[in-house]
Amino acid sequence: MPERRGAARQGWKVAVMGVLLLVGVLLSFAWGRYPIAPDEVVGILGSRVFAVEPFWGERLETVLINIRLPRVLLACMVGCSLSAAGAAYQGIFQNPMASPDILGASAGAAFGAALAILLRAPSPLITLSAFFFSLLTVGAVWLVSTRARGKRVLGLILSGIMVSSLLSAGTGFIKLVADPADQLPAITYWLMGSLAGAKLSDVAFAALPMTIGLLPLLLLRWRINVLTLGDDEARTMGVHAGRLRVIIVLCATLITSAAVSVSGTIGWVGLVIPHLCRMMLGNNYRHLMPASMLFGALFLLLVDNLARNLLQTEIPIGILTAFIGAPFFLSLITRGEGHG
Amino acid sequence: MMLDVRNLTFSYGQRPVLQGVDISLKAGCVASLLGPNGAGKSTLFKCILGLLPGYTGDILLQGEDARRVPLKRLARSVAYIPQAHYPAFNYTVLDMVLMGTSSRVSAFASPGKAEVAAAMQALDTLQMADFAHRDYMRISGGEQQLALIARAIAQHSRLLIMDEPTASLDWGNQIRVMQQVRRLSEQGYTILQATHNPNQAYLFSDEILAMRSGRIVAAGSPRAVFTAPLMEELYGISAQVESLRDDCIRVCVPREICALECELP
Repeated sequence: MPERRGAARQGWKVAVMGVLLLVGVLLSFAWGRYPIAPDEVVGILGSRVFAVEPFWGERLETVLINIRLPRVLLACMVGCSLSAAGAAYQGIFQNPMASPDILGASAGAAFGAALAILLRAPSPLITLSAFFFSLLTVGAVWLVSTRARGKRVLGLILSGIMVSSLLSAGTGFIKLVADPADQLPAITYWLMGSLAGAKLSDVAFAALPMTIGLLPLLLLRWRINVLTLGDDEARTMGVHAGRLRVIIVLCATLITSAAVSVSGTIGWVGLVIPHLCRMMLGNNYRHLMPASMLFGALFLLLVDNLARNLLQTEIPIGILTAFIGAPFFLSLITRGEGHG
Repeated sequence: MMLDVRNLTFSYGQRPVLQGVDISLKAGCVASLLGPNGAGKSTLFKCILGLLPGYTGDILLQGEDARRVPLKRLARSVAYIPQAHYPAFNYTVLDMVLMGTSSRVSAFASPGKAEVAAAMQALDTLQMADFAHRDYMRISGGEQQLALIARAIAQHSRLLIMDEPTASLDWGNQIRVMQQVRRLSEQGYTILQATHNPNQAYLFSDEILAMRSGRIVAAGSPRAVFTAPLMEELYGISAQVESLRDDCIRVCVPREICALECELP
């Protein structure tokens, strides 16, 4: 039956993305200032589970386990989360232009991080403060929107824009009063977004909220299709639109906040990757959601490889994603035919 | 009775929209709801579909109080067919129709073989099977409307509520869609459609309901209801209803313009 074949073909594409991601991860372990041969990568990782006679230098093991492993994992987790959140927000707001920062998660995290840096908090507290303020901001946006007159979705988006700009003003003020010798550069670098200095503790911190958020998005993905038709139509088809939207917003916010708090503001991934996946697999969330997750992880992993290997000094990944994202987006809107 | 609406009253805040509406539809009939813009047709539909819970009076679906029916089961007894519209994202026609099966699919799952079969059968019923893998956004308005009807069939509801299904279609597609609607009623589906085309309502329905300012002002067989005085009452335009082909067709024409241009009696 042809209708099964169509779905199977999309399933294959998702599977290929998964394989590519695995290969990408293994190559990323090997690639870096201290190159590690593939057999050494497999050996070092294997030695954690099985008894393997070390045939590699102790220094390589330190580099791989303490520096490269957390960074590779974090790049995948952050890319996966931002891309999944973008796809989810685009669906529930019925708007192909929606991105993970639409409800103020990024602006809130930036403010929280800047505030913590200003108060000379230690690094784990900066992450925690970013995460906390990110959630707080989206909560505030949601509360404001329930009091907004008119259409629910429009109210949410408008209050997202307003609360975001309010917090950006706050971040600007913190930069103004911050110590220009050390605090200001720290804030600026945080805002550019970077995975440099990723630690296993960051991975551990982000893993729980990301799992809690990503799993429902994956499970509820067919329902998101129905929601893109609008609340009334969804309800007449037996889907509790309002309840579903709350769950999706909660999940998408949780993973965005977790991602932004460990990586800083990395734009474009959440907008561009879901769009790329829409072009490759169509708009059905059944395949779009897993594809966005896998491809988002792969994309940020590749960009992070460039960020740490392209130049002698590390390039903030947020700058690179914008360099790649903006031209892509321009080509998207000048393609003539709307593909949304 | 498939649908029984009794003394239905609804207000948006202080503004009353529906004031004591009574409707009853037998299974397998096509009923057309006529009425000027703002008469309350859409509000009536939203009440029947369970989208506006704050009404007084009763809505009975096959004798059961609609208020007591949970959302999923409601979706299996009454389906909504909106005017063909552009969704935010493009889906294949099959995916669009599959969405109608959502009430039978667990929240954490995607439609499986049974649902795909139901969707294909629904498309087949409307002679749209060849369109299954086409892009919904790239087929004509008439085909989109038929796809939306197929979605309602795949939903397995026997009562179909259609909001001006032919409003944006060319004349040929209007006829094609209405012919399919007639065929569905012969298969036992009950159809309640809002329309702004009284001639079409006369030709294709078993019953005409006329609504004005939140009240049903006339209801009954098209021959009894479709008259010039009713048209004047509904739309505020002096009208003349011409009978053609042994009263098989009636056409409503604006009297003043015709008197000027065509020297009507």
